[in-house]
Amino acid sequence: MTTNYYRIQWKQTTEKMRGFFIILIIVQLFFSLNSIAGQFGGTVVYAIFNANTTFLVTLLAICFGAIKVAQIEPTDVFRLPLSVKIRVDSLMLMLLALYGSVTALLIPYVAYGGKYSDAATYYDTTLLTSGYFYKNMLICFLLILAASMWSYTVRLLKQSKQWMWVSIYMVTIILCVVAYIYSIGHLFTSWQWLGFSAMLLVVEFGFLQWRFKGAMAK
Amino acid sequence: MSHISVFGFIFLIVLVLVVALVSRKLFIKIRLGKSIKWIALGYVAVLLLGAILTSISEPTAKQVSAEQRQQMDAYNKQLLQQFNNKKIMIPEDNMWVQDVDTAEEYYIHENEEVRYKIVRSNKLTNTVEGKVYYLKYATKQMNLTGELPSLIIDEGENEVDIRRKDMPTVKVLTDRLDFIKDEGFQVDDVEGDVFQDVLVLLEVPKNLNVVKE
Repeated sequence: MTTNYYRIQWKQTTEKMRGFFIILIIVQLFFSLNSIAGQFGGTVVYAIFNANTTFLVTLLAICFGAIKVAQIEPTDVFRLPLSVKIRVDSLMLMLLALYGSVTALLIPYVAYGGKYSDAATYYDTTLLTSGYFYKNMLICFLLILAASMWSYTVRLLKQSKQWMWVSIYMVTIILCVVAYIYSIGHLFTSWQWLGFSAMLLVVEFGFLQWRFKGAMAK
Repeated sequence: MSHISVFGFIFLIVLVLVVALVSRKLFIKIRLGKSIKWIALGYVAVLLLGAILTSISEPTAKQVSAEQRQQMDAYNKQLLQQFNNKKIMIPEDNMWVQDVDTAEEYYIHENEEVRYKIVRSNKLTNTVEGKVYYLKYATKQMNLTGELPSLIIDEGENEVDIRRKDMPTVKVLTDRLDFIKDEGFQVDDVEGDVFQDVLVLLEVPKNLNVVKE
């Protein structure tokens, strides 16, 4: 029977990221509770709270989580091939990004449940049946994935002490971002957000495949 | 921070403490019981359930019917007409009486949200009487009549200044296409007619020199 590297790597990665799902719950709940507290205010009327903040906090948390994913454990009995690691880890990051984007988008809507109603407050409650929700979810997912892949790759390159590649990687990403923003020239629409995150993901996955293709980092 | 009350703040702190306490137990539980799959899935399920329940429930926005809208428009028209004729029969929302020195000039601090009409009266000698009227207005989606901000009437010795406390902020999430940007806008962005919704009829003694600033 041949050794299934992927299975071993998946076990390692899930073991490492087990508690992270809970950390995400806590981080998100903290920020939505913060917004619920705002409901006790006086004249200011809100319909939705901190949708942006919840999303950004989730994104940041997963970015930091990705650093932990990228860590190569020194206690491993044998070193698994890096090509296996990046594939399994990017799957884990996708899972985290999906989880993070779904929950980060749902939380602000659930805050409606305990909300007092008001004439000046109106909102569209057709959340789950609206196409916008799924579009936003896709964009959030791609953005979180792009951001976490970025910190993941930087950490992986740092571990193999490829300082030159770290800087090349950073410069490439920054150039892409600046060029994109410059060419658009205004606040992004949803399709432009999609294009933005897709561009970043292509660059990031391409770079990852290129640098860590073989058994060991070049 | 002005919108977060003390109660809300205490509520927040208590909840954070509870979450901190519970989370520690949860962390231990994850390590031991390996129940992370269920916790994560349960969390998503609860959120989904909440979203479904929110979706089912009726929107709380009071939709303005064409009839109501017509009534409001008629009211506003009548009020404006009477205001321009300096004779208002509709009961005022707020009023004040103020002693003044007729030998000095009387200052009115004008701003764009308040319209003054000055009526010179023989009855008054050393006092000024002010009456405040609100216009009723409705936007396309909602009735904003009840949402009018409260007024601050500053009566100086020989001056008056009427300001709004603050505009109610309405946050609307209709344009979800535009990413998750929750748009907050002040009600005066809804329609232009929200401006100048405060009318003040000011009765002054005949010989008082009124200066608008």
